[in-house]
Amino acid sequence: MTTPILAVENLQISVRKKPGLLILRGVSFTVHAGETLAIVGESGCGKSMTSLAIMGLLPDAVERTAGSVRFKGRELPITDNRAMRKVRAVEIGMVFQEPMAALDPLYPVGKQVLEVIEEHEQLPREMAWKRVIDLLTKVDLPNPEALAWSYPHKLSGGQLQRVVIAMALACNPDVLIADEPTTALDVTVQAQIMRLLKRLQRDTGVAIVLITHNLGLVAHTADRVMVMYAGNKAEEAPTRDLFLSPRHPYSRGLLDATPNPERAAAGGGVLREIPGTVPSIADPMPGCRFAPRCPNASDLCRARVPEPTFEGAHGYACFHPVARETLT
Amino acid sequence: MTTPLLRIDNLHVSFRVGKEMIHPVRGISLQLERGETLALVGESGCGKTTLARTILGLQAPSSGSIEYEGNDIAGLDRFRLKRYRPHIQCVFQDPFSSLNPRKRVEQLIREPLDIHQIGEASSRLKRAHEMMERVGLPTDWGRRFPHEFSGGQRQRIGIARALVMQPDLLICDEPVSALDVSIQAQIVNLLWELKRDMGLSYLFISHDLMLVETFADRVAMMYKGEIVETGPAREVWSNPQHAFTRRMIDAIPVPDVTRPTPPAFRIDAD
Repeated sequence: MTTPILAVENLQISVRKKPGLLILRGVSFTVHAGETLAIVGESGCGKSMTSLAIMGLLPDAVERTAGSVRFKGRELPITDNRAMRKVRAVEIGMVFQEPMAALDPLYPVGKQVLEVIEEHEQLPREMAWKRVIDLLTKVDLPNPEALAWSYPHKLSGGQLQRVVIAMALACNPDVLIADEPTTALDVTVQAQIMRLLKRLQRDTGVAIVLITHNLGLVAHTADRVMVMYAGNKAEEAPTRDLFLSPRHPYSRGLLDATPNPERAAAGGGVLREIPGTVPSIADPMPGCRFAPRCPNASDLCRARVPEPTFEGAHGYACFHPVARETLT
Repeated sequence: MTTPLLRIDNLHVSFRVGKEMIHPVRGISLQLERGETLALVGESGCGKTTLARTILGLQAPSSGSIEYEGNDIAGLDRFRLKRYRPHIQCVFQDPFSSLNPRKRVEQLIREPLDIHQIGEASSRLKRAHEMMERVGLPTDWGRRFPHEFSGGQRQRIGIARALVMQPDLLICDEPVSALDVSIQAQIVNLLWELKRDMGLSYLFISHDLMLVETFADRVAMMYKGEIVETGPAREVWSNPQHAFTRRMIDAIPVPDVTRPTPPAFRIDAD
């Protein structure tokens, strides 16, 4: 097997002033060139914290207490902000959820794309500006020469997200982390943005880490899925396997709770819910953190943390997994 | 034929934003029967929240009528509107900004009763506790403040506060769009049970056609201030008539890998 382009190993993140309060509890995964890995989970599961850690953008209140992030086999200095400036945009680009917050309202959008290029490359101004226009064209913005001089408030949410994507891809990174890139957008615009990302991926081979809570997006855009719950990796599988035969009861519950028109037609009108709420990070549970909400939980689950079990590319951390479906 | 619970006829709303006049609601006519769940679906900026605000009397219409049980309530002043307020209540989208952070939960829930002076002061707290229980909140949490609750629990508080008035019509403006999937399902199911047990009618405002398709009786599709299509939820989903509805459905990723990828997501055409 080839070296993954990005490898996160046993990443553990804790609250700085309170050792023992873990936000990420040892998460590992890999991303290969040209693929899309979706990281799925609900608020507080650690999916955004994972992406911030990879970019070296962890908030001051938390710190890495174990684990590593490797890019093409080389360990990234994720705690060294200065060193990480050479990694961001050049090796790993990032697209955030709120495009309005990611852009400076006081500068024309073209200048902001230019700034990324000039930060990382020594180019004559004219060539750099030509790159800006090329990038804005590549992300399908209409009339890029004029639009480059527009201020963010003049653009729609979808257009702003295209500018942010142009910024993220300005220095041809090998990995693009997209953290809920379409959550703030209407469903028709969401489809346009996802299609743009997939097309850019096809043309450049960039690997995409798609962080989302939208299982529908995952079903139609990701190659592999990692499901996170309360700071842990619950399950990891090729997209088709996860949807057709989830093994972790949380993945099963998440799929069942998602509105699905076919299923609604079959029964009753109400959704299947997961009872209870996500545990607080301060809750000192000795066992599986999903146990209090889990239909399969036993005394074993409440006493010990399950280790990940792998069947080929499909892994899950559960003592009492959901029965395997025969895949056709 | 019986009078519908709510009948909106040729409603227009316009207001000034800076120097510009905008017309978010352009001639809307709608009917909501007693016991019905009508979902109003549209994209951001289509005017659905303005319509809700107008029905609630928080925004004056420029023309048209809003009949509640046959009485026109469009543009009534606040004194005359007060009579209708207990009958039409609202659950808002953001469970964080819609609750006063300085009030205890039991105070928040009994507040509508205090304002409308319903029942003895001593019985109002009891009513608030009954409502807490009904929406699945432990009554001994009544002394806590909103910040001590999660998003889903706060939305339960918002629902209890709306239902303590025993309204006939509940307007839900994106009540679950700020919530996680598993919690979203809990709240939708709660609303469904409450409707069944209390005989409520819902106007459910959402941008998520797939979500409302699972529990609404009828759907009204709103586009640029107008209703472009109405029909039974299942029919609108499976056989959309208007181009806007079709475009929206083509862009919705259904969480099912056995279904073909929706046309709007395919890159093979590029």
